[in-house]
Amino acid sequence: MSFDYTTFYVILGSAIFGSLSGIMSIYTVFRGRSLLGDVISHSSLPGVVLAFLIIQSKNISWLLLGAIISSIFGLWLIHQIIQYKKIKLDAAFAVILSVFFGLGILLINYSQKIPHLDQAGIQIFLFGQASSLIKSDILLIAFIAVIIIFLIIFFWKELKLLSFDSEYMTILKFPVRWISLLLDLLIIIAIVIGLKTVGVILMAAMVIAPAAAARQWASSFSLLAILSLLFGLLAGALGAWISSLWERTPTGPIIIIILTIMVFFSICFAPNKGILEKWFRYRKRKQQLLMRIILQNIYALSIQHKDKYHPHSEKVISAMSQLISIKTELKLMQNIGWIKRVYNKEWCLTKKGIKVNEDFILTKKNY
Amino acid sequence: MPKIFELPLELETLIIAVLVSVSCSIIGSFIVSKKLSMVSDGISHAILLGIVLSFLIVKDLDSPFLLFGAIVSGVFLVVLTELLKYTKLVSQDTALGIVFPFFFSLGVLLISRYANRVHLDIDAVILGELAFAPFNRFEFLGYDWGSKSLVYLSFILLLNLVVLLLFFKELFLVCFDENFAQILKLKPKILSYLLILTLSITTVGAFEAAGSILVVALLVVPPTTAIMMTQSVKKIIALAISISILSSIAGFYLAIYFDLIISGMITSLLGIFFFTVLMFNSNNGFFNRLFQKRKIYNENNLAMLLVHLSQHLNTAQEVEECHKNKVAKNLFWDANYTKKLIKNGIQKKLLYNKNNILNLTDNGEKRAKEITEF
Repeated sequence: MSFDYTTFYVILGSAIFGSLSGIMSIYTVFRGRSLLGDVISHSSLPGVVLAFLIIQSKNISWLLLGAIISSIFGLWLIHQIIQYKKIKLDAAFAVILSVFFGLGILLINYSQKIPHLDQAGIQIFLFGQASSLIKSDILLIAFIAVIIIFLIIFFWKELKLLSFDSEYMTILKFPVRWISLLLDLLIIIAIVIGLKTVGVILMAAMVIAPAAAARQWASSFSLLAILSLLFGLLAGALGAWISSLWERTPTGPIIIIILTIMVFFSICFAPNKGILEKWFRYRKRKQQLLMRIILQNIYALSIQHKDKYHPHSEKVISAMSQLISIKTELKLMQNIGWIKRVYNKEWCLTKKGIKVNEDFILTKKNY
Repeated sequence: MPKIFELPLELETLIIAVLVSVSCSIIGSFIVSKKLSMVSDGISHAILLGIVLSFLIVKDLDSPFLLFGAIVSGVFLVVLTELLKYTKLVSQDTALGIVFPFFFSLGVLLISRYANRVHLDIDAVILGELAFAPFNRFEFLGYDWGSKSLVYLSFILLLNLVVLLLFFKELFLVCFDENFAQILKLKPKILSYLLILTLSITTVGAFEAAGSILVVALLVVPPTTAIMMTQSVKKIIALAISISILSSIAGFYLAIYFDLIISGMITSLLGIFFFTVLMFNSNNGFFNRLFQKRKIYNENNLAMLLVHLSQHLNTAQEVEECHKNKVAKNLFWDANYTKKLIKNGIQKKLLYNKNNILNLTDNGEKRAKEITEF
């Protein structure tokens, strides 16, 4: 079977874009602006249509330029709106997102009325059509990605400081405004070049999910960046490959689904913070606490008989402890040698158990 | 089929537009106050999954079950987002930005693989076109009651009004201070979900006629504009309703005149409204903030003038210090500027001119006293 270049380009393009958006997601999620991707992708629409109307060509470079300018304008407006203390960030996001997009729709409608202007390509920006990525697109994406990553590495420390403590940065006399502008620009470019792959609506997840997943595994900023890049790359490549295997399977949605699975997997199974591990630890602690309570109760019961080794049935013990099912805990206690089973399925303390309990009483340790 | 209401198409479309506007403004005021603006965007995309799943079950595009499925998926989006947030491993925004694209992706995937031949036009879902709304009739008991959108949106407006009137105070408390509402045992969790349910129902009912972008715009932009103008929540709702009705009616006619898409035109008008207020709002608008510095400067100088007068009036130096023409020299100010300042002071009833000597009015004296005894 000959090597399928089309599929190869699609996978390559998606992988590159995935890695790029993976890295940029660090700078959106951890600055508290997760939905910036959604806003940028929606506000790029009027720029695309205007570029199309003015330049009158479907050359992708012009369309991308239009998209970038439009997004920059949108972000600038959001900055202005936020100065207004009464309006919160999310409201500003939603306003710009819907108004710009609506304006874009109006312009699309207008362009449809102009004769001999073929505008079929614009609909692709809505939903993405990765399968239509061609060699020149890949070259463009790769070129831009290399530049962006180079810039990020070059300004690594500055961008890191900007993300976490921009006030300190101002004190240190860095040109914070310029660096912030640079970062915004990089994010915008990264998103805009990916619009053809996943489309406007799904773009939001591309700059959120990689970082969200990475956060579950790492805390150091560098490690987060590397992990996000890897997650994005994997999702992009895998998504494109899977969608090429089956027919009628669009690429964008598959990539997003893979990313979401990664996030859910990370949340559940990641060490230390994963939900599963948390739950196991919680159960174990609860068990240990119950075991101690039961031990104390058995001791108290046996004291009443003036015989520390006096056995009692499980029912009596559970009634005394006001607990319902203590079978597991009793078994565990037997395993570590606190109690032992005697005739009639009753439990009594061992020497060890007595000592342990008396130690507890003396030191009053409660863990 | 006999019609209950004989409405010309144009009027019917206009009525639908107004119904959408009012409903969205009402629920939107709560949503924006509760910082759920982006959630409405998320819901507008997530309902696609509900529609597709419902369609795959009943295989009928006109079934109302589709609406039910959409509403459920809208609420489910919020439930899932809350669950994710509950793990404390991601923030609310992050959770939202992961879940709604997931829902949308599933929806698009299902359409592509299982409903490809059916005309589930995704474009229409996003864009919507009010102009086509009247063509889908609602038939019941052998009568044509109007277009489907008209009937649905009337009920939705009713729902919004009922929710608003019954739970007005409680809902706004929950929006602004959930903790306090919890202390008062107002069950903020339930009220929150009431809001989300109403939001979902309104979004679903409206998007068929208006498209998801216009719905989000109607939900968010009028209340945000109103918040810029006033503090009182009653005024916010009233303003939001007025702005949206105005934009809808004007947008409708403009769209017809220029032969453009109605939803796009209304959204753009809402945007223009928003930015006009942003730029020109008194006290806080963009332009007024630019002039703030100048204003404060002038106010300070006027205060200085008042104090100067209060110190020298009814003393031996009265004529020398308080004469209209000598004040400028004494305070080292430019003569023209001083003239304007005096005029301003007279206008504000802080001082008056008596035989060319500047005297303080009662208000002026009070003000001077406030400053010197600070």
